[in-house]
Amino acid sequence: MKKLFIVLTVLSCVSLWSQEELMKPMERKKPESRKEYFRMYYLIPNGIGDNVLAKANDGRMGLGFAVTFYSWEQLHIIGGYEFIQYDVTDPSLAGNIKNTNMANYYLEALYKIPVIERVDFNPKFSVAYMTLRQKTHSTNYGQQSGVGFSPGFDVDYRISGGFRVYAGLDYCVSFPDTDTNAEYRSFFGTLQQLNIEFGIKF
Amino acid sequence: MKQLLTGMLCAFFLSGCGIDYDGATKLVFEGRVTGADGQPLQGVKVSTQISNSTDMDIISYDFTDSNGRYLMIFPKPDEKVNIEVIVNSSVDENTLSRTGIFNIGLGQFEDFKIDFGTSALYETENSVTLHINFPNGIQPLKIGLTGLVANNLVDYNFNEAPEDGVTWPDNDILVAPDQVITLKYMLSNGSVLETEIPIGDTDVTFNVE
Repeated sequence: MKKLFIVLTVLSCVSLWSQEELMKPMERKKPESRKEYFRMYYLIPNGIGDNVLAKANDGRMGLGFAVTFYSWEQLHIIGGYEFIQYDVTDPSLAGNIKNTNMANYYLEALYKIPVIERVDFNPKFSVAYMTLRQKTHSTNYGQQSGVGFSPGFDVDYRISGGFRVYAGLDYCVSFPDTDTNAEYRSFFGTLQQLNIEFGIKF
Repeated sequence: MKQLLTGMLCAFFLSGCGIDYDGATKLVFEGRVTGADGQPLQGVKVSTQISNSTDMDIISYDFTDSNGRYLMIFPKPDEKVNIEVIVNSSVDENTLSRTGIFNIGLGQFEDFKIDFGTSALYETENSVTLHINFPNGIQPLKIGLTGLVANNLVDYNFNEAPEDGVTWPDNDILVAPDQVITLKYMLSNGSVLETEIPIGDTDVTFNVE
């Protein structure tokens, strides 16, 4: 009986050890190891559609950063800030002003889908509180604020450890508060962008 | 240290100046520019100027299209400003006449828009001079001319008595020949009268009766 107990104990230990050894390579591929915690990015803004951003401004640049607040399996809940600057190109529609600056404070749901070992495809959707300010140097020409919604995706490539580079595409529709002639309400009150972003994650 | 303090004080007071705008409210100006023959003029610069006692902004401008139409949309300025539209505001020398539409009140917008209608300009090279005399004892508070005038000032709120004195154009006014000009004037009792002035091809002195 004593011998049997010793043999079972040894076999159990060997079995557990073997399972651990076998699981190691699989664990590396587990989604948990693909988590992202922080990202910062450069953005190329493009106004699209029939609105003041697209018709009277030219996308200049954008910068942003985001932090993961919560993750469960492949799902990430992320909070971020981005600043996007446009140059005014048509002073008759956008005012004789140098820049239109957009700021987005957003909450995003991102889902990581492993494609190959180092590459993930990440569809995402964000909701933002946005502000739009027009400025010529330090002179301020007022502010609009509202909400924005942005479906998009990015693809990241893991260089080493958790460090990744990525590129993505975001469609963004924003609704800044606007009082104007009925004919132009949508022109100023429904803004659309198709923005290209690239940056780093870790 | 004293210079630094002075600089900081100047910066503080200057930061309190400037014109405030409501970015969420967009005002719309539109209109049309023609020549003396009624045909649309393309490429005429039209500007909107906002000013207060210390600052001035050219807040918007446009060039007329092939139909002579212009459109200017800009953020709403605060209440205590002067709003003026200048038709043919180009700084490049040109021989076209110029029209300034001033005294535009924020209460005069309809659904955030004003359509100024048609402004007619003419080539000022062949102008004649108009001199207007009022009878002794009559000093109008403001006068306005409708017609082809070289440097016309159009009071958009003509029926409102001026707060800061008399609005009075130059004594000798350059106008286009061979037309009829309408003279509008406000008397000190607030009444507004109109009379027509026939212009020929020579200088005119018109005596208001």
